[in-house]
Amino acid sequence: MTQALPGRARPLERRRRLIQWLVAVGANLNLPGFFTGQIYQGASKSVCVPFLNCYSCPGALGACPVGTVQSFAVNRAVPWYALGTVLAAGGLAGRAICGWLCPFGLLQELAHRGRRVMRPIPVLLTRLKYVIMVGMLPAAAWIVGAGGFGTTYFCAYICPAGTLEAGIPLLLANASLRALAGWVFSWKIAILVVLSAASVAYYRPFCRTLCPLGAFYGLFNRVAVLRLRFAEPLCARCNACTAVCPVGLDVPATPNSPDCILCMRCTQVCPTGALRFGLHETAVATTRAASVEEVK
Amino acid sequence: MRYSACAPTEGIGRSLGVKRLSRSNAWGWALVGLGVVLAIVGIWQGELRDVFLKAALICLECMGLR
Repeated sequence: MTQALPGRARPLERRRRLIQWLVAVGANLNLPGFFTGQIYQGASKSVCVPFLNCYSCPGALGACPVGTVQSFAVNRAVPWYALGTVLAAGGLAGRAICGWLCPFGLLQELAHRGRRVMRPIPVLLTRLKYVIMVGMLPAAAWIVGAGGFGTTYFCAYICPAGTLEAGIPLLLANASLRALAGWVFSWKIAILVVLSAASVAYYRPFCRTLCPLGAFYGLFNRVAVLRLRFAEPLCARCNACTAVCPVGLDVPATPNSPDCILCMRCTQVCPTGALRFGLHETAVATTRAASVEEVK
Repeated sequence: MRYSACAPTEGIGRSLGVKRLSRSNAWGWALVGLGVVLAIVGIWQGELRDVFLKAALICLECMGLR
């Protein structure tokens, strides 16, 4: 499906991009760390951010919830604080966290920038993120190595954010760490290269196929306080929303799908105001026929 | 098919009478509340210190070095 982004969707898209940049820079403000090869060790490191942002990134000021949850699981402890943080964030805004705040999502969007062809991703691949989400904690807790402890398997073997935000900058700046690089690092670089290439062709491939945090937030899309509001009686079936959806959803058929990242392009192009993001349902006329006729 | 450029729902609301779809935000608020409670429980149990101890040291696993 090919569709240029209509002009009326662009102001919100620019605002979203600005917010993504502000969050990405604000969450990684320890800029000297990129040159010294050291990570930030201030008090804010005890605060879990609600999005994927590796805490070993030299610039990171906060803690990644995925890494935190896994490290607690390794110690067979329940991460109440990290779980509470992501639960509250998910209950408040669902995957809008992915669409508006996640720095790794921003990087993938930048790689995809300018491409208008929306390629669907095979459904089986989009289900992988749920397998990772469900398997991550038990694996960290119960699949143990020689020392009797598990490891943060997602971070160690999959997470491309850790490779890009922490591995590459720290290895470039820190010679002692470079000496430790082995096959696991090569494997993670390979994953990063594949996902980077995929990001050029596909919109946010990591978010859609592998991210356990995105899978978790997606579960809340239908019940989050701030969510997409679809007033079916107002829908003119013009499919303008579906045409601009970057993740290829049939928006009227599946509003608030777990795969929706709430970029809100659809709300901007809907000619009848049937789609809206917010706290309350849209006020609608009592019959669809009457309402659609009214706006013709 | 042509559409009006103004916000159509307001006009419809005035001319035809509106109803607000009654889907509640109760589940969403309940999840937010539960999340806040869990976070407070975690903080009360001293998890901030544990998170700090993990996040303030270079994580070799995250970088693929171990």
